[in-house]
Amino acid sequence: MNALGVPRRLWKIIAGHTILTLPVVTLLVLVRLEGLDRNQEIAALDSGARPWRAFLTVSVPQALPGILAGTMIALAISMDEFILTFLVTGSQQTLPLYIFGSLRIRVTHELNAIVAQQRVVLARALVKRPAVLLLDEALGALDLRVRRQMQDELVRIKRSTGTTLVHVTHDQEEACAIADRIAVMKDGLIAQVDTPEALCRAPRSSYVAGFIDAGTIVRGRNTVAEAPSRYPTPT
Amino acid sequence: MTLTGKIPSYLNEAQTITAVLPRNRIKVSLAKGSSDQANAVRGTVERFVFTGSVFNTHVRVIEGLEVRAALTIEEVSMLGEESLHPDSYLELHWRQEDIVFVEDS
Repeated sequence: MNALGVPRRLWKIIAGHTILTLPVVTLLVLVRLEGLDRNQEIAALDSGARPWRAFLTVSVPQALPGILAGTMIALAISMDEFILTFLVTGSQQTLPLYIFGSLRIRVTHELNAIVAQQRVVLARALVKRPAVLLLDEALGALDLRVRRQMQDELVRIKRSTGTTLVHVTHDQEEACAIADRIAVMKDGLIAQVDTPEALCRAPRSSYVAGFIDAGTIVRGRNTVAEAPSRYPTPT
Repeated sequence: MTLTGKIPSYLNEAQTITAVLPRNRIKVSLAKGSSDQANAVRGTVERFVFTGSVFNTHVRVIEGLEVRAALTIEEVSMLGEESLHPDSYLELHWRQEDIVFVEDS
């Protein structure tokens, strides 16, 4: 198993890739076959041609543009996501590999379907092996249950690929669940960077404390009693 | 209301300092008799909300200041849920080291 948790063997890469591209080819061929003139094939049969011969000489040439278009698109996908990644970078962390791994998960209901879809989106982003990946409110549209599952998925991917994820979120719980370090922003500047635990235990400003909802903020007057104690008294 | 604690070394005297009372470190008890305890304050319950994991108890301690305490289900059972309803009179207390002093921003 490689870093993405999928098999390394080449034939499995090809199988995964075939599964990916097959629907594209099939769709285009079917569209072309939809407009097929059956009369020509019937005429050939009436002329005494064998069915297989009539299919090859009459129907296949008519469907050929669809087959060629599908093949070209499949090839383009291959060039982009399989050959380039596999041959140029030498990496086996290809999209077909990752999706093949995802497809082995039995999609039993909507939850798995959404998670699988999100995994594919992530896989597409990870296929070029970026050093840093920006996720801008990536889980915002998901319901709580799916979001939590995707949070676990992000943590797993982060650990297994070593990719740095910059995850933008307004959800403090989500930030704590995913992040090794959290940067709280204020007016475009970083107000504090810390681990989730440190941030919650020791926010450095009232803005950060309020943002992470650390507790009740009490503003008041500071009075030094005896070093190093202070007394903020509410006014 | 006076809050006492040790300020972090990165804050200096020139800065305006604000105190944070972490809601999960505040203990709640029923206010009985008179009390002049340090690190404690009394007030009336404004809101009592179950969030799914804890009960957030909002206690108005002075005009314009509500202190929130997060109570576990066990803590609420021990206190009795009826004694935490709005207008109940409670005492909140904490350890001096529980208060977090931060820069006011």
